[in-house]
Amino acid sequence: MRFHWLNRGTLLREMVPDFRWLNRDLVWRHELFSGVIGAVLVIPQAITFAYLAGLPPEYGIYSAIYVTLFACLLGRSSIIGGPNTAVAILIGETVIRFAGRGSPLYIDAVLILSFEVGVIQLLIWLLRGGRLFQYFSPTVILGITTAVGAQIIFSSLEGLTGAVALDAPFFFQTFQTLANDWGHLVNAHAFAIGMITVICGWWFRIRGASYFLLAALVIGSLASAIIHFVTPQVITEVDLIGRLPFSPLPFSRPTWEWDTLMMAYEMLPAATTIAIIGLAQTMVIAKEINLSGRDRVDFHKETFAQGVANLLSAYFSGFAGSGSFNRTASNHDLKGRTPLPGIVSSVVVLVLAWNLGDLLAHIPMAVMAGVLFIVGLSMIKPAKIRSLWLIPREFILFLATFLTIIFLGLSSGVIMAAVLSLVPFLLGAARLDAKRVRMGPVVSLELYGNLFFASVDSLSERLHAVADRHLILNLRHVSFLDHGAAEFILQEQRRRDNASLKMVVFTHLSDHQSILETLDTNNELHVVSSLPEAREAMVGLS
Amino acid sequence: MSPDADSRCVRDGTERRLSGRWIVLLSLTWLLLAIPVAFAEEQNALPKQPSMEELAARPFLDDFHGNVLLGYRIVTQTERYAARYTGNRLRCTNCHLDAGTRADAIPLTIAGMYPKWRSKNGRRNGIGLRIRECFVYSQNGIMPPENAPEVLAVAAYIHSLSYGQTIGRAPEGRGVPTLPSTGFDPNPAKGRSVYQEQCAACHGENGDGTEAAPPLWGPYSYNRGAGMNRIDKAAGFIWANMPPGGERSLSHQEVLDVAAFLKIQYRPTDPRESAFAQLVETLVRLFVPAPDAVSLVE
Repeated sequence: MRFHWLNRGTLLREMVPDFRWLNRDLVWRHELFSGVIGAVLVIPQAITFAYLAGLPPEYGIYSAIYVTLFACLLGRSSIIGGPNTAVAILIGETVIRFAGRGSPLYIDAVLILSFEVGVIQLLIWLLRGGRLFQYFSPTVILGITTAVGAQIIFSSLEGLTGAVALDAPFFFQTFQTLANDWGHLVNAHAFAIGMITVICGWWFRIRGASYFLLAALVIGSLASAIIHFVTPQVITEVDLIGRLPFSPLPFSRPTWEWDTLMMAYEMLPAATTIAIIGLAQTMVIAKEINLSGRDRVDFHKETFAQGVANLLSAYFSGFAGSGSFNRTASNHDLKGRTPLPGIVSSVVVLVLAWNLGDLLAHIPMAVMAGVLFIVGLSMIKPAKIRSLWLIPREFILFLATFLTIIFLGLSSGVIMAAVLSLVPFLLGAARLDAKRVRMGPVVSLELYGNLFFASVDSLSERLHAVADRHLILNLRHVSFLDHGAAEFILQEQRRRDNASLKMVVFTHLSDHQSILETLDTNNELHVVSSLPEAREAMVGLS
Repeated sequence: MSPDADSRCVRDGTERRLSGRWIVLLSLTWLLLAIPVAFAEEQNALPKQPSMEELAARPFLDDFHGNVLLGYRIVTQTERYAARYTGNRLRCTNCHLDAGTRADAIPLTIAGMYPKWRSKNGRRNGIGLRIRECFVYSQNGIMPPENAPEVLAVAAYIHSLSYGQTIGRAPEGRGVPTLPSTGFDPNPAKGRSVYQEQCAACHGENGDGTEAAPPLWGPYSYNRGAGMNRIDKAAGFIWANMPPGGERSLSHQEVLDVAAFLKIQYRPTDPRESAFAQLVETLVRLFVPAPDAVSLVE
């Protein structure tokens, strides 16, 4: 096995920050403006995604600053990284098994998990795994985003209704609890504020405003301010975010102890899933950019940037993130073409969070939940789902992914999705066609398809049909031959030799020949590399 | 051995030798009896709780002890660890002295007393709601959510402090001592002079606090809804704990006067009062002429 991809020059080029985009004819006005808008857009998302991950809001802000900054400094494209819905949900889902939300141990576990995610992504980068993500089919990705949208809606219900401890392992339990004890659980003030937020935000979204989340946030907060002017917060008991204990350089460090190492070990599978789902989203965005022809994204460089950013997030009180669909889209709408908007946005977020702390303190959680609800709702795209309805096979794939995530959680769902993406292809790949040509006593069997462990069964069926004939096994149209199938061919040769029937294998591919030769230690196989040779071998048979 | 026997030992030589044997015998008996008793006592005693220093030195803390330590830090450094919900410059340990371990200074060893009904809000209160109200009134901050990590951490700390208490029985020195009636009304004017003599050195002439002591009134102190704003509570607290080093040196009347003096100072309003109602009240006062006393009498 040759590691030809481990070229030191290439790796070094991908590791070193590349500022050549500064020389491009960039329009500073557009880039800076896009960065400022990006900062305004990311703040509500950062706080709500921190909530999804079970963390205090400032951790989301730190992620929005540092993960974005590192990813943009090391990357070379206009992809805006940072906190992400699916990644945040996965973090919450994983760490809740070890500690209560927001407790010191929980935060430590999140830091360890983010560190692991970074390391795994760097491994994927080193093994050139960036291309692996083209195996997520668009149908399955639609299934994932729809299910994540649904999950976000479920997790926003707690904040939206002002009810406490609604979190249940299954979403229908949440509904059941709400339905059974509606009167006791729901805080009418919080619910009113939440509904105002959702309705206004959705109205702005329908009108096509890209700042709809911000509008929802502002209107919801105003509604809350009016309500609390009349009735004090002590009486309404609407939960507020509270002042952010913000520090510009929030250094942190995952604890490496025997007990935390056990925790880290137990979180490894989840960390792998998070690393993959994070990169997959970044790569989908990259693919879109490459298709649109605006820019040429280097998959490997982005993978490296993402990995380093997530790894460092553990040292800056952040949590792992990935490329963001909506913020990258907004960046492109505002004509951002370089990593500059990401850098500007992280600096602006830092300045805003530092100075607006007291203003942010009075935003109710219900408004945040409303923002989350809108985010979830806009991830569900009925038009796309309807178009899938017409292709039953794809629709079943979509439904399987969606239901797995809803019922078994996102981490199991993503693995299921990866498998499901390949199922139609694999089913097709195992199919073997054969053309039988009779030439006197000899039969020539021309095979079409791939010869591997899964198609051996089909091959044996074909061979059985011509069991009492001399055989030319024509592998000219077989593109792939694996060890299992080659062994089967060898057995067939032995069986025919015992029955004094002749068999010749014809293949002109050196790959096939070398596999067969390696296996055939006793020189039993009769392999030829051209059809005339095969015919020659069959001369004189009756 | 009785003192009589002892004196006999000194007088008589033969008895002395005998008494030496007696001493050996008795001490052996004592040892034989005392060792099992000591062991039994050790077994009956509750296992020791780790101190906060021990917890802080540990490299890894499980979820509960991590919360206990965070709770201790919130109590002692409120402005740093619970900045999210506080609104003034007070720390929990300013009233719950010695991080909530001192008797007669509202000790926090009361986990076994909750849940209970309180007249303050007319509800049955869990320890969580009690902690949240401290943030609203004494800390003049925001009511934290029920499941806020800060609230849960302080609850864990209170539970660890209450270790060994009998559930449902008030611990010794709970709250502040109730002062007996002095027969005189509290006099804020006299309280002022007592304050200048006894308190101003640490709490400042204007009650805005110094490095040594927290602010007692003004925008950075507790608000009108706090328990300390009640004259009886404040007087009991001051009598039992102030000034440091001279506790219980002030007379009952003096601390009542000081408490009344503190009560009439400016401080943030009761957060239960609606800002809207206050605005309406102010407007009414501004534009509606007050009926004069004579017309009221008639």
